[in-house]
Amino acid sequence: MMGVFGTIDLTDWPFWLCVLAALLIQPIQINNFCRRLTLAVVNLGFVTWLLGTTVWLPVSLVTVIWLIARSFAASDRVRRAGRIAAVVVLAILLIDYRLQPVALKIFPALAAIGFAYVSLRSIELLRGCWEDQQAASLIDCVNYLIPFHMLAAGPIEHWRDFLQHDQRTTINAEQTLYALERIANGVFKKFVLAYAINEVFLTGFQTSGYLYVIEVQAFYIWLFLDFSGYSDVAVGVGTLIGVHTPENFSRPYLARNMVDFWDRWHITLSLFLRRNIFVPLQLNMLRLTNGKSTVWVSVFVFFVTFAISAAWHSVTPGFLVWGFTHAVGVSVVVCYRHVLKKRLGTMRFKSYQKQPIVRFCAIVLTFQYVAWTLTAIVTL
Amino acid sequence: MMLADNQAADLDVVDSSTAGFLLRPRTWLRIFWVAIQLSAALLLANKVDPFFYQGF
Repeated sequence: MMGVFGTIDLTDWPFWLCVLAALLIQPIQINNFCRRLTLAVVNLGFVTWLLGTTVWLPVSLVTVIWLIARSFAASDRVRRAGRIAAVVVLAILLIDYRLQPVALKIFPALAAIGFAYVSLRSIELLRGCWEDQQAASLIDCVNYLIPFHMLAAGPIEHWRDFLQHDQRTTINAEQTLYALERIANGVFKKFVLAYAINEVFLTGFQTSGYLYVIEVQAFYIWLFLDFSGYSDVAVGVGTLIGVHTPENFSRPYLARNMVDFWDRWHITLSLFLRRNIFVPLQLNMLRLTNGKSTVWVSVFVFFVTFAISAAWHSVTPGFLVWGFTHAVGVSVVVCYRHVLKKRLGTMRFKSYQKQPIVRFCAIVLTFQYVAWTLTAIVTL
Repeated sequence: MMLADNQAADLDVVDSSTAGFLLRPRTWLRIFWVAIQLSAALLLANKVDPFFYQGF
């Protein structure tokens, strides 16, 4: 898949070797600087194994992001130049990465380091430094942008959360067992449960009739097990090596509507989109409309946000349709809630929501909506 | 002397909590379940395709 480069696969020994290395270096982490430095060495070691001599690419990228972040702590003129440089660098890399089939493939190694996630972390870091007018240290940039256990599929940590939790921690026996449980649970989900579902039910939607209906359900469950399994491993490894790693899933199959679903599925991406696209755009739109038509403004901003989210996942018709259907789903929920609240009043609306039958129907309906819209990414 | 007593008491608390944790039957059930999950995953690991989200 990656050609000459390695892959971030949980079956590869270098990943687990890095976990072991991060554990073994803990006794020499006599202070937080030592901890940060040794973790940076492990992260760079993993990326070097992935890319070989092409490691210059992520190293240069981290250095450029670090220099831009430094410029944000300088004079206004330098800050403005830094902001332009940030937009240009990230735009070039994202276009090259996302439009690889039609572009020049200048940097094929971007795929090997999971650049989709690195790019979002770069935006978070630069935004945080811009707003706080503070530079970031080079070691922090390495540890934040290319953490080996979060490279393939996130989570995407908030820059300020990273700084807040970037401290030496010791874990007791109970926490160690919890971390091992998360790792075991993650690999079990991925290598046993997801594998079994894939073998028994998934055909790439080549089936028809009731088998197709079963496959639609199985595909959603498989995707959840595969993706959340990886996130479990990342959280477990993070707990074990003392690196704060946020949760990415919270039982999404129990979501009672599409808004609730996005609070439970790929949580860190949802929060990123909310912080960086939805809220700023919504505020600007509300200012333009003088605070009127809040529901329609929200609907418009949902469509923009999901279009960007879909394009970030992959610039393919399947993902664009998937993004569109989720924007429709979320918008319908917002409008329906608005109408219901108007008709019933807040108290009756809340008691209506609490009814077990309403809750059950809402969960089943949401599950089906998510499952059927997911088929677009495979079939289109 | 007072300080030494306090330190000893602290050590006792740490030791007993870790030892207490390891002596709980539930802890060993959890360890057993971790071992089963890891063994099953290791048996099937080389049959599974690389991570689905690779390259997203």
